[in-house]
Amino acid sequence: MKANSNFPQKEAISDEQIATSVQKGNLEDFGELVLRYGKKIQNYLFRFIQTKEEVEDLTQDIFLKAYSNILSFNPKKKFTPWLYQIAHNELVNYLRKKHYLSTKFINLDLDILAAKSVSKNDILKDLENNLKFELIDKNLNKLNFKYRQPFVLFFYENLSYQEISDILKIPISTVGTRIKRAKEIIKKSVNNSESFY
Amino acid sequence: MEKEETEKKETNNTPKLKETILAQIKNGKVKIKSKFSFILKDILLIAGIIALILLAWFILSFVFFVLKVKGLSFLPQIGLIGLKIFLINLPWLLILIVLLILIVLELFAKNLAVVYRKPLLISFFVLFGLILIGSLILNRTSLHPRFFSQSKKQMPPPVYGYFYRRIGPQKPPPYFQSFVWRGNIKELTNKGFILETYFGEILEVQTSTLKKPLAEPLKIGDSVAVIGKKKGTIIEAEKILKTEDIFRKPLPENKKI
Repeated sequence: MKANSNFPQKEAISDEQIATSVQKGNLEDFGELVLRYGKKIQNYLFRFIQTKEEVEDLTQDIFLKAYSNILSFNPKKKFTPWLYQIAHNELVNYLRKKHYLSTKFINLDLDILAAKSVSKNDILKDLENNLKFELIDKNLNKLNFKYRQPFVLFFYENLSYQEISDILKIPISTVGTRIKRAKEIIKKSVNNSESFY
Repeated sequence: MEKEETEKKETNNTPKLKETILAQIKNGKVKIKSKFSFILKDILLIAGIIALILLAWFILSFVFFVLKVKGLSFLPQIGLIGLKIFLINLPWLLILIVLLILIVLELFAKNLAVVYRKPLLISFFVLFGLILIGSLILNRTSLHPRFFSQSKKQMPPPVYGYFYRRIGPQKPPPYFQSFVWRGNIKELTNKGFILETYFGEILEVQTSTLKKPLAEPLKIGDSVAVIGKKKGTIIEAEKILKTEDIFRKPLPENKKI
């Protein structure tokens, strides 16, 4: 295990190059990945878990898992979806352990069985035109896990439908349908709260 | 408002996080898993999927074989009552096993991007089609007849020899015995042919009473199901269906599977 980083000027180096260096045994470079993604992963987890301590513990577990599985990363692919896939799996395991999520063996949701594809651009445009980000943030807790997951990955983490499909292991068309549904729920919730005041 | 502004402020502790994680790695809390373990996992997954497909092909083709041996596959062609008896006599346990394999296969295959990226219904029907086509092809080979004949000679193939010994031609239910006769054509006559049923009865079949002419001429040795009225040893045929018969001689046992 090498202690020194291979990249003195890291800003210009891609995540994939750093991950390749970690695969070769450069431990310090893994630290650079933690610096780059630590806050992102914590923010991602905060959208599902409210306790700071729990988020910090889970973030550590995610990075330790990522380090342990680093040789399964294919440097020809993007690093971000790979890391989020680990984060997603750890999050799901954690929520199941805490009984916040059911441990259904087979998922037979209608949108998994068959779903129409929904355009990514339409959803983004619609969201940006109609909703302010702080309102979306405030109403995120109105979404149940199945809608919140793809919505957070799409809206906050800027991942593509295909990347989200690979992380959640659900059909690409289902990703679109769930994001669209999430947007509708948030919009409805925002409208309700506005009319209340 | 920018998205960044809405992100939680209390989490700006990444340098500390980095130190903690690196310290844990240096203390040996986690070790990098070998590349071989990931390759092995992939190999086991693919091997599991292939094994399940092969098993499903074998069992489903065995279902087709059972229908062939029982000689009941012509029943749906004689209307609703035939269809009902056909359905009752299907080897449902084997069909259920194939369905269970299909579900397990779907769960295994869901780990492959090519499968989980498609809606479940599509991947399920693609897998079902793959199993159906494979088993129909396997059904056309001599695999099951060979195992079947081995099981009759007390040389059963391992494990499943038991199943082969339990199958044989099945007498139609009593209701059918009054108007359906199955067997092989023993001799062609001026009026029709002589039928030797699977259960040893010799009957004379008259074809002048057929409602529709035969699509192709009959020949000695053909396996047929004759539908009509029986008067003594003469059958006034109304319909003659060619059936598949891979075992010319009647088998003594009449067991169900």
